[in-house]
Amino acid sequence: MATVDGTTAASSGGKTAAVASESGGGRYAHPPAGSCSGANVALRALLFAVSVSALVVLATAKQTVMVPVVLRPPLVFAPVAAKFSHSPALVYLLAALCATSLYSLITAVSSLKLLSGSSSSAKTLFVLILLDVFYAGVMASATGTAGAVAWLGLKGNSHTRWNKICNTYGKFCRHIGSSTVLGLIASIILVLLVFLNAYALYRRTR
Amino acid sequence: MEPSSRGKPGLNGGFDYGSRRSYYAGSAHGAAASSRSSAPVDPCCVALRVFVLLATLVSAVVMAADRQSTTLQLPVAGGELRRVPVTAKWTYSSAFVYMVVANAMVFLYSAGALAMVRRRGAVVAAVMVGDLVALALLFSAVGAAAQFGLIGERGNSHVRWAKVCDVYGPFCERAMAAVAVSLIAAFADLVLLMLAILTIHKASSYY
Repeated sequence: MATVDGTTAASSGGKTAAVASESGGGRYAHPPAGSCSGANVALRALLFAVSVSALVVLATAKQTVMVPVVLRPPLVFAPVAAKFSHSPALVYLLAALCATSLYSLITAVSSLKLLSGSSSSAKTLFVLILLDVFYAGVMASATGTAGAVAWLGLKGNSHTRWNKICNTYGKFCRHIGSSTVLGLIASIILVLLVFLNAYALYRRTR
Repeated sequence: MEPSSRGKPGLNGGFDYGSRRSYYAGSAHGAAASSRSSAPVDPCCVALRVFVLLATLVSAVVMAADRQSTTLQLPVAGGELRRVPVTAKWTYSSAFVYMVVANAMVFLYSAGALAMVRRRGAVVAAVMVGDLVALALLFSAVGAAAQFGLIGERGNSHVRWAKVCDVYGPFCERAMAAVAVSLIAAFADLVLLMLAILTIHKASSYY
């Protein structure tokens, strides 16, 4: 529920920003694509919401179940915990999500500054696109890595005898899967941001 | 603005001419439209694209040709050990399949983009979109395959996934080589995309 609330609040905030820029855009000689910048801020706020919720879902992925452990012929049940820090891929996803949420927060503020119509908007836009491309690559690789480990956990691999673990750790797997899907959405948002900003920059070449 | 100083004036001259025209012409739409129809070919971008083309091809071929047969001593019924032939192939891992498919797709896209490098206009936007998608595809494929290789190399004791690279050593080495080549291709694609953005930024009237 918290995710949905944060997302709607973010997008509504972006809409008001878009309206503000459209009303204030007429005062400048070069109106810097008012609706485009509003969508920019909205997407960045959405990116922040998505990455923070993915971060929370990933960090709370911990489950302890009683699994049979064969020490001697009598079967012993012992509690075994599954945590995200047991896999380097998930640690990488956590780091990438941390960096992306921080980045989205900072760039949302700078996009808001861009909305207020400063003169150096072209250079800011340029730097933002470069960073967006970089973070899109980081998020794509983190999503691919976490998706591979989630797929292994879900299906296993019979050729290398890696058994699936999701029949044992169901809740843990749902957390990992949700976090991976949210990471995928975050990378798609970053790609959309690059499209949007590159188009805004491209329109100025005319 | 001096094309002759960078060699190949015919290749460089197109873009410099266009940018100067649009820079000086300001809002003269006729001049800007005619300059956009010219073909700005940057030899650096072409070289990078050829490099991406070759690297993705090499990576896909190395990964797809990667197979190894070896014999294992496995206990059979009766308690005795018997030598069993086992094979490792790239199709046994879904992450490796994903990487081969992604590399092949980027290879085909790069060939298509290289074929229409002389065009200008709406194509440059399509090429940027394709570059971005190829970048995301390559990075996610490299991440997935590298993760699979890492588990194969080290195993994961928490979920009892044993390492397999001590059995399939050459297989793992070739797979990791393919992943490394694909990673270099992904970074080259990143540089290519940043150069394209830089070109648009320089051609924008606010620069």
